[in-house]
Parts: sequence; structure tokens; C-alpha cells
Amino acid sequence: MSLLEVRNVSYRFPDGTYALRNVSLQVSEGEFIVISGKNGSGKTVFLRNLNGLYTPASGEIIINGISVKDNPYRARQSVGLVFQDADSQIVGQTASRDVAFGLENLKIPKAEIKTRIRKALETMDLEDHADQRARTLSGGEKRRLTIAGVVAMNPSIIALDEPFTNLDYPGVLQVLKILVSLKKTGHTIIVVTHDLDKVLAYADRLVLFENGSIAADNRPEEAIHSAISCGVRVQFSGNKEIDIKGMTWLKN
Amino acid sequence: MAEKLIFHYQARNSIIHRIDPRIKIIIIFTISAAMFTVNPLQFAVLFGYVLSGCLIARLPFTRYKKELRFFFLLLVVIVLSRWISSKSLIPSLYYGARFILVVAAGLLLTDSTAPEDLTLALYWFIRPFKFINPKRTAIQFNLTVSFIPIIFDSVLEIREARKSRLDNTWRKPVKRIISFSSQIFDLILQKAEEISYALESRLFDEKILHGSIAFRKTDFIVLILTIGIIAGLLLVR
Repeated sequence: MSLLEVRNVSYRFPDGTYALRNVSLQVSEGEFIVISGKNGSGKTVFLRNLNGLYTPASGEIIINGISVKDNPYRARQSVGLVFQDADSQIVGQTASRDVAFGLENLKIPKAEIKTRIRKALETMDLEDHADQRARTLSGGEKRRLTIAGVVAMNPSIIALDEPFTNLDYPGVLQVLKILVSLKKTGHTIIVVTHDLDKVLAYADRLVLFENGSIAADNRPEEAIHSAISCGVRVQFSGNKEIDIKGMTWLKN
Repeated sequence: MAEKLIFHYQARNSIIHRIDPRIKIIIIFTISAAMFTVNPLQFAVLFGYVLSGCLIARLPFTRYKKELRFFFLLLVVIVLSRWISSKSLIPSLYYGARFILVVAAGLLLTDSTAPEDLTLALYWFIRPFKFINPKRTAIQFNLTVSFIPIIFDSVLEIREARKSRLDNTWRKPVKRIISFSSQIFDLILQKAEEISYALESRLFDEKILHGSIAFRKTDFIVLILTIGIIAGLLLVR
């Protein structure tokens, strides 16, 4: 059984325009999926539907066998959403308090909260910033903090909306390292990004959105050929070949 | 930008930062009340006490230079208006000194106390007044305080963007203020929407107050010391 099943989901904005049209997608446990597409193609709206923040006009989203519509609270427990704008997501005054926010909402015992905060900050290499004011962290650190806040809640799926936006080169590398380590530890990851050259090497599947529909959903080697027609930049090597394994900024 | 905001928490590990926020609030209120009953010499002792607190808390006054200009302007207005009405300089300066003490005490409280802790302290104080829904009031206070740096950042961002496109301060001021305000309002609404989604996605529960506060022995030592000093000052009048 799939961990996530999206069945014919359509989403309409209040003004009547469709952001998603009959989107269907299945995600299995441990998969790393990259979603791409040009601006306004429906990627962010799709993630917000998964998290139960938006309610589809039609169709159904099932996570761990439970309908998001019937139980949005469970959906938010199951899908940890990392927003594009880290500043909007940071609610705690210090890094550790920000991580604690979601855990306290889950009503986890205090001792367990402490352990999870320490572990999440260690994983994100932020343990030295635990008591630092969250808003004074660098862009890369803020992004890692938002991921820590989500990872600590132990969701089944971690969905990241444009995690490389506004990051400098070291910031991108830091986030990439975290994604790779999360993948290695068996997390199910969905990354929405325009920057395929930064992350596609780790993807099991590439899903391309176009005008609110899925234009391609396949192994990166296959789906990449539809990328340009979907408005996504792809860098070809000298002999017009696409080197998927080379599509990462992490070089060993 | 957020780290430069005046009247905003500066995370540090000083004894002042560690004092329970409830004790800090009681101390600040006691000093503020005592200020109006003491003579200038006793006032100097109180002033020194609060200033020592600011130094121990290592408040970054040099970073506040720009924001403090506004308070300096207010200080000048207070002293001048008092001087014009009373025609005596020393009492007018004394009024100014009281104003400085109030600002310093406020800075000491807000810059050394995390908003979550202030929220919990506020809740502790208003808990008996059930008719105002203490928990909801405290959480709304916390959300408002957390939102302030975002508003400041938005205002600065818009101001700089307008400046970069040669927005002229003195040309058509009314039109300019209306356009500037509506732009800020739009951006703040957008950010508020994003924040509310972010809170919701992390299972925000309006019934949960985040963090915890607990009295420690040192809190009572500081409280007794402060009350002792004030009582001593009042007794030797």
C-alpha cells in the first residue's frame, strides 16, 4: 500500500480559477520525489493540500490510510511541511523553542520534548545555536531550523517547498547534506524546486507540473526530457546527454 | 534587522535574563511606583540600580543608537515643555530623568525576557480574572509580540524599495503616506496569512501556552534585595 495516495484532486481558488486539475500521485515509503514546474503550475498548492491547509474541490488525499479531508489534524502530523519563506515558519524566539513549538502542540511529555529538540538540532548541526535568537540566524541556518522543527515532529513525509530559495552556496550545500542524510535514514521526502541541477541526483522520481496538472511522473532519466517543455531549466552536457547523477551540488 | 530592534528580546545568559519574568515585572512596577515618591538623591540610587541591571544584562545600547533617537526627542519635548510651564530647570531635568528611568526599566524587562516567558508571566497575573479569558489573551499577546519584528522588517523593506526608486519624501506627502500605508498593510496581510498557515501546519493549538517558568531561589533573593533597597530609601526620608 502507498504511504500517500492522491486521487483526482482538483483545487480551485476563491476566484474560481483552478490551481490543480485531476492530480493523481502515489508515494511509497522511503521515496525521494522531486516536484518541478514553472511558477504558478500548482506545486505549492499541491503541498498545501497534502498538509490539509487547503481543501480540494474534488478528489481525495489518503495518507497512511486516512483521508486528509476527514482528519486534517492527522494529515499535519503525517506530512511535515517546510515553507518557502523560513521567516514565516519560525515562531519560537530561540532555536530550541522553535523546535519545541510543534512538539508541545502534539502534547508530548516534557522529557521527550527535550530529547527530540536536542536530537533534531544535532541532526541539523544547530546544537550550538540552541539558545540563539532564531531570527538572527543566517539564511541557511534558518532553513535548517525550519527542517528541524518539522523533523522533530516525526512525520511520515517531509515536504519541502523551494528549500534552496534565497540561499547562498554554503547554505545550499548544508540543506542538500540534510536531505541526503534524511533519505539515508529512510524518510519519505518530497522536494518542490526549480533547481533540478542541485538535487535531482538523489530523486527516485521526478514529477513535473504544468498548468495545475501532472505533465510527467517517472524516473528522473525519463521525466527529465519533458522538463524544458514544462518551463524547467535543464543543463545538458557537451554531447547533449543529461547526466542525472551529476545533478547535485554536493561533489565528493 | 530583527536583532537590532529595541524593546525586543536579546538572547543572552546573564543573571538578569535568568530571573523569573514574574519577579522582573513585580520589580519593574515597584521601582516605577517608588520613583514618584523618592527625593532626587534616592532617585539617583534607584537610577543606578536599574542602570546596573542594564549593564549586567549587557543590553546593546550602542546598537540602539538609531531607535533611541526617538526617545531622545521625546525627552527633549518633556523637559522643554516642563521648563516652559514651570520656568525652573532642575525640576524639569528631574522629569526627564524619570522618563529615562522608565525607558531603561522597560528595556531591561523586554530585552532580557523572551516573549514566551512574558506571555506565561502575563497569564500567571491575569489567571484569576476569568472574564477576560486569560489563556486566549496571553496567547494573543504572544502572537502580537512575535509579529512585531516582521512588521518592522516589512516597513523597512518597503521604505528601502521606494527609496531605491527615488520616492521623494516631501512631494505630495498625503498621497505618499496613503500609498506607503496600503503597501505595508498588503505585505503584512500576506505575511500574516503565511504565518497562520505555518502555525496551522505545525498543529497550532490556541489552548496551549508554550514554554514553562518556575521560581528559583535567586529570584526571591533579587526580589528581597530590591524591596529592601526601596524600603530602605523610603525609611530614611
